Amino acid sequence: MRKPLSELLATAGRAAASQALHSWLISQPSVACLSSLSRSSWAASADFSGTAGSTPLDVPVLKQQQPVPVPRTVGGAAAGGVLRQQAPAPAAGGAAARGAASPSPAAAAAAAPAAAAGGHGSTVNQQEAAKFAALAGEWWDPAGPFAPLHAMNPVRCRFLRTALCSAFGRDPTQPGPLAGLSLLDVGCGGGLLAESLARMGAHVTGIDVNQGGIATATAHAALDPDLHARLTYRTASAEQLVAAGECFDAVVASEVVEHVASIPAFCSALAALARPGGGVAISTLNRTPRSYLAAVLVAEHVLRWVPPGTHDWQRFVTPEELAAQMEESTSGGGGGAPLRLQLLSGMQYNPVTGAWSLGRDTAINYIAWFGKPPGGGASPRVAHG
Amino acid sequence: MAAAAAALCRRAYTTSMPPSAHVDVAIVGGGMVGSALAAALNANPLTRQLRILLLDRQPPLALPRQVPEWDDLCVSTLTAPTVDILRELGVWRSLSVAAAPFCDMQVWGADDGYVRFDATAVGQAVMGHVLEDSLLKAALHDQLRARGSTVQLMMPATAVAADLPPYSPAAQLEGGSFVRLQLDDGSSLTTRLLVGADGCSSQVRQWSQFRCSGSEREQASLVATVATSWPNQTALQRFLPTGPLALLPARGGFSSVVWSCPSQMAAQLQALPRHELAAAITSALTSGTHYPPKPRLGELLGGILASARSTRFVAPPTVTAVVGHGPRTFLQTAQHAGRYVRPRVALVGDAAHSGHPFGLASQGVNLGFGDAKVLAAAIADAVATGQDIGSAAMLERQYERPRRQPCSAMLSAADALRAIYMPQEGPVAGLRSLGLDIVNNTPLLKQALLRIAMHGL
Repeated sequence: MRKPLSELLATAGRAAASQALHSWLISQPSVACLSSLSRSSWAASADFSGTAGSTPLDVPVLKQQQPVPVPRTVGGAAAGGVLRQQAPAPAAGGAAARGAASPSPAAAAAAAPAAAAGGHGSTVNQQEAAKFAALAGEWWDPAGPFAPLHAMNPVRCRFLRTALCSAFGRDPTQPGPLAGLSLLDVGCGGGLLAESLARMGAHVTGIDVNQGGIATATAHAALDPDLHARLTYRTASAEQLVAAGECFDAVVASEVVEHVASIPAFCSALAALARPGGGVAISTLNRTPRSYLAAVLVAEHVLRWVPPGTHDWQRFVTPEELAAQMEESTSGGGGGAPLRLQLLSGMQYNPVTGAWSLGRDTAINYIAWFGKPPGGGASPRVAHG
Repeated sequence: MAAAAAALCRRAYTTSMPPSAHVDVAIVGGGMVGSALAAALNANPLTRQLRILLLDRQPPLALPRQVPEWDDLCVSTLTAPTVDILRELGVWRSLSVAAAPFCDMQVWGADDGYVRFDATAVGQAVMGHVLEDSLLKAALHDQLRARGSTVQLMMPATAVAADLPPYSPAAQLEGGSFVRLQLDDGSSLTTRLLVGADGCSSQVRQWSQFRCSGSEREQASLVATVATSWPNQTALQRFLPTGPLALLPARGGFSSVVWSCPSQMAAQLQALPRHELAAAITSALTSGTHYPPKPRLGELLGGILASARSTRFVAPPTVTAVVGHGPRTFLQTAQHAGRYVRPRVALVGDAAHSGHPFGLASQGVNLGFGDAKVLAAAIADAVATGQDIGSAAMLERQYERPRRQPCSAMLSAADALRAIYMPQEGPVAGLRSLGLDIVNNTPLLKQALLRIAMHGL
């Protein structure tokens, strides 16, 4: 039943027309590879409740011979400008994304973090501290500009818990199943996801080039004595950590990929930061007609939840492209074994209840886990855009 | 802080975990619902590692070795979902011997017209169980003190004040984000989540400044255990103009009486000598109708609609004596809190929605058990996904939203019953009888109502 992904991509990879086909494929349970992929991830998602004792993952490892280059993302890959200019910060841009739109514009990494950063992390002067306090209120207000992130958070955590428990042989029915793991949250913003991962027991390093987010996250973490010791926040970009030779059990980039200028460069940075035997988790928006409708037309132009232009639909990346990119980013760059897509799930937003859920429909939002095979390429390498 | 820890140590009945001045869940009120919530949290491996504290003014109860001959006065009618919850918590085994099951129910008014429900109509053997509250509470307390329980009991102890975190996250950054609870002995503790399970005059609800709808109707209920001319097997409920009167089968062939009436009348009834009270109950159950009441038009309709089985009116037994402890009266208030949650606070049971005098007899606790189950599941889910268990957004989405609808539906249904049964004369009474006749002779409608009565909405 399972065809190699490349075969599917060969047929589905022909630009615009393929989008309709893609969403059709996703919606057809009987169609070969992708459906087997989504079926198994769906089966896994059914097990996310954490009550079942069995390991929920029957993970299809995808074969990929012909990496498909990611189109239209070559723009701004100049030296040092690996990442696209930062999306408007919430304070300036008014209400940030809502609903099916990517809810995290400020989470994106910016081009020249060190220049803006000045002091690092804790050394923040009084004036700025006051500004950050206001921003902190926004970040952590479940009804504020980041409401969609708050609503989405439990769902992506459920996925990450299952993916990480399976990858590291933990028991998902126990509390704190991620104890002892070191995780990196790239584009952590106010620390929403980082705190949740820390609550599951992991030691989390959150990085963001947005200094306001880091200050917010640091202040909020101090409120909770149980988490404080397991959370570290730094104003840095993924590339800087790669350059410093750092390495983590797993790397998470949630709602960031759609904001970076060069997906290949970003993906190789993520891949380089994960240790062999670990992996990378990415959540983002798919490039389908439906995601255009939801994230661009509805969220930006009809409902005006986000300023028009926040999302560049052409920069969205499909799961297949991302899988190809992750594989290429390691094998193509030489060194480590390629990262492979092991678990994929759609994240659906219900506009009536405002609730998110995991499911097989990856047409708008999706989250994926890429495993890095153990052994080989143990030494982290420096990635250049 | 050290003083608080010392105080906890002195008071705690179970100290399998070190007493601390910071807990994850503090449940104020160790009644049936609060204890069930604590037991449910303790039963789930995801939530069992949480520091859970149960506070009550009264010391914990223990199940007696022998089931007492008579029911204690306060009884509850437990529906099947509630029994399922108790079974999951591992307390039903010890309680089932004391619970009196009933298979059918008969509801009728002051005049002609009645409905008779039978559990077999929806494929069930038992419609519900009648059990006294004290035994249920004792079984839960025993469970919480059993080996392996990590719940800390502070009983007796009284929370006198609480410092609740503000709604705004920005303000929380300034003033700290946990609840500080002040105890009567001067000590204090902080908690991640404060649960108000402290009944209809809930302190936690007052501290939370929740609006509360519902009026004081000067309604009281008189409870008594009685012997009847034959062992009653049916849950009988008659809606009188003054309020509903229920005769519920109890253990050992006795029956429990729950008589809702204006508080003045309840006081008068309580003052009566026992044999006169027994006669008053009998007369209230039987007077004013021709027995058996003939469904006239309804019978005609019944012949057309379907052949309805087991729909015949069963005359209630005569109450021969009031036994056990003397009759008691309780004031009944119908209240519904405007909100169930705020940051780090949740209300369960009567604190959120207290029993309506016109509801079906003693059904309120079933809603409370539903609350406990849903809140425990919400907390477990928050632990599983790394969310803060006191987060207002989580509580609202996972607990308040799923609970508000069934609770308000139940309260509205009770309100509707009151509206139907209050008027005594005129065409309304005729319509009422006709309505009941139609219900009684329409199996589909009856089954739908029965499902609601047995399983909630």
